[in-house]
Amino acid sequence: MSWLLQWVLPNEVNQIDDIHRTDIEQSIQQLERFVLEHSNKIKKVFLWVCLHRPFSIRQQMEFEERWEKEVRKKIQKEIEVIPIVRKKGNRLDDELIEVNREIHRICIKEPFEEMVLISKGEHSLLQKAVLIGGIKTFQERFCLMLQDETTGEFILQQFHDSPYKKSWLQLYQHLIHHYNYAGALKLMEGLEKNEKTLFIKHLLEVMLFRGNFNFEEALESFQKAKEIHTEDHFRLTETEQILQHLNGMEGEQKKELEQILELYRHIKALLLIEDYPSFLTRFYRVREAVLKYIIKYGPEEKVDMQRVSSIYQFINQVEELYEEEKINRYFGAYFYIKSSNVANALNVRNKSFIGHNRKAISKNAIFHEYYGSKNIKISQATERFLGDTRIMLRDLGGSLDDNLEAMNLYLIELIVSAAKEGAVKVD
Amino acid sequence: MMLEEEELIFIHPTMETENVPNALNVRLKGENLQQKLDDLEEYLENLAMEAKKIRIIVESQGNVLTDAAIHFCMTHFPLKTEIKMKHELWRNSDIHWQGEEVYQLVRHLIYLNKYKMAELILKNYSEDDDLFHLLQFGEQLLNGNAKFVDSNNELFYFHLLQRILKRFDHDKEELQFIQVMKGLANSKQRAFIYFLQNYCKQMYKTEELIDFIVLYYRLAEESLLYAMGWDVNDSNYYWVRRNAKQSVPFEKPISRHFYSYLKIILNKAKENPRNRFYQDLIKDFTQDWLIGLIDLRHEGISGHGFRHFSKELFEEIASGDPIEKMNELLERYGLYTKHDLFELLQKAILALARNSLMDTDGRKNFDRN
Repeated sequence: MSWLLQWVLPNEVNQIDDIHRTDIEQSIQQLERFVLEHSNKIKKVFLWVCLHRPFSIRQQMEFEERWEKEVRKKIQKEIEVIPIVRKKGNRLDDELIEVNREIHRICIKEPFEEMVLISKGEHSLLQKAVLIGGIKTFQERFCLMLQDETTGEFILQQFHDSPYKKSWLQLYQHLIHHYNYAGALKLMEGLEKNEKTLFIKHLLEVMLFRGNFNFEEALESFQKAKEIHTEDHFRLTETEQILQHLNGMEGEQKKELEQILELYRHIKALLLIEDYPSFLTRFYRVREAVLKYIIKYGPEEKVDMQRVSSIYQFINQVEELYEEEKINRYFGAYFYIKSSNVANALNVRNKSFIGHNRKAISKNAIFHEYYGSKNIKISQATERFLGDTRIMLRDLGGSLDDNLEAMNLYLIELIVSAAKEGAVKVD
Repeated sequence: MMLEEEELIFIHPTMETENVPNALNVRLKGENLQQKLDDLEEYLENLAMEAKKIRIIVESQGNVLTDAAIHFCMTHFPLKTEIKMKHELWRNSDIHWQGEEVYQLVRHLIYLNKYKMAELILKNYSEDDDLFHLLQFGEQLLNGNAKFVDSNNELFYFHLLQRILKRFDHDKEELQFIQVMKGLANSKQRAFIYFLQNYCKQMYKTEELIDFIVLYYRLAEESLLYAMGWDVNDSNYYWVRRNAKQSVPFEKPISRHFYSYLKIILNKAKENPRNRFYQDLIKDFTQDWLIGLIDLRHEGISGHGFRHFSKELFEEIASGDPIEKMNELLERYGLYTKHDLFELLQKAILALARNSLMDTDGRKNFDRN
């Protein structure tokens, strides 16, 4: 087993250029020395950074890329920078839920390696969160590396038979972070039935129905949840609004835009859990949905379109409307959606077993077609894809939110707080 | 580092520091870090025998021994550990269960085809390479891939599955089925149709209805091609199967679609209205339930619409269970199989997993503060 080395920067970071701040340079020098001494054991280095304030998505991507590049030059190892935004009020539980999401991802990606956290005697909330998250998630494969202040020598502390191997709560978190609501619902069956667990169950159903685009039943389950806990309702306003839009309660145009947004929410989740067949099915659909939206809401006056059999004929029709100046908006969205990046990526679908062929779906092929390069991290590929998506959706008058992820965090918060209050028991 | 349990205990890592007033001052005697760690663990172990709670107070200047104590306490006395940082008190909480229940969940995850998630749990209980290879096989199959990475040993997954099944449950028919399924690695027609059939069944079971109907349509399309007596390769090259009992004379289809194939048969039937084979093909592949489901695929995310999907809707349109309906159709053309590659894989995985999980025991309890 090799090491997934966890290094937590002790101080908060304000801006990208902080990589040259003295305290940070010192910390990275320490890391460099450690990596040099243990080079053959280390598979990958994770650098945890606490951001003093939230960065924009673009800033954060630039931050990760630049820091990773600079640190990689020094340590000659695969490196991943994980930024966590500082929480107001320093709540360890909030920090933990977020840190756990990252550790879950690491654990899925590297199920057989050991997680080694370096303890340098510096205290920070993030260090404690990574420590606790690591102990619970990596369990027996979690190791603490302690440095003797006087001799500089390192000692590895590892325990066998972790109690968290049988942790219900850990499993629940894994399932939720994996958007596996069917699994989470099954897990809930083992819990005592009371108002709190019923509330969570209804919300899980909402998510499950959304997956099948069954929004009537999603809304029904949502109403049932609302009847139980009206006071928790403010956390769910966004979701309620989304469901109302999707059920056409705010008019047709809102419904159609929300359908596109909802597709993208699922697309994002599917990319993150690397479910490529399902991703391609939905990405294929959303291209057409955007074009239809442009045709329907682009022209000042309604235009009647001839039925066409292929997407390329359809694109030609839209092009004609632009040429004839019948559509005078959504230019960005149009050019993005007809771009060769999108078309080529979708060609992977066409040539696969879910399209018109018998071939397997390869992640590399999708990324190669979309970005023109295979050497791209999944998280960054996803972010760049979503970056493009966000710009495109803005042009249509929508914006991509993190509703599924926000719901996930809420679903975890609910069960964590219920567990603390002793309000849930295994039946 | 300080520990608080009714009384405040101050643990000094060295002999040099001054005593803290109103506290029990404990000093670690060890000369180096390892000895100090041993001292600390022994002290905590004894303390935990008497104390109801151990609250570790994290000081702002920090010390490696604090992290070490958190690691030790959270692992050995999870119910008793609390951490105090600045003004915040954090209580460890959890819900634990028994080995048998973990097995039940793994079983359910495997049943849902969530192989990655199952791997996450099983890696804590097993070091069995066979088990993890089978889990990877499952994950790969979901992407339509049956080949092992090593091109000299492309069929490794199938051989492994046969070997494991032979060990636990030697069923000749099942092993024969796996033999046929090896063709999936080379996109062989029959193996591929079986694969679609199996995959559809799984997706319907797990109510992943959008992905289900995509595959269902593909199954209808590939089965129609087979029923015509044709085959096609990945370069869209078509041919009439040599072993086909009956076949539609070859004519290049306009595109690789269900309706494109159907059109060819309709044209031939027009030319030869008395040909029974053509009539049967048309009758079989234009049944209301089938066309209804193909149209439904068209109307959802799976096709070109946003129609809401539910099992009830599917069953209403199919006037019954879509899987059973399809089975009858496939049966008529010798394409139905009662075996399921996913199920066989699940069976093998669970046989290996059960051995690993049943070794452990634990008490079911709820851990709270």
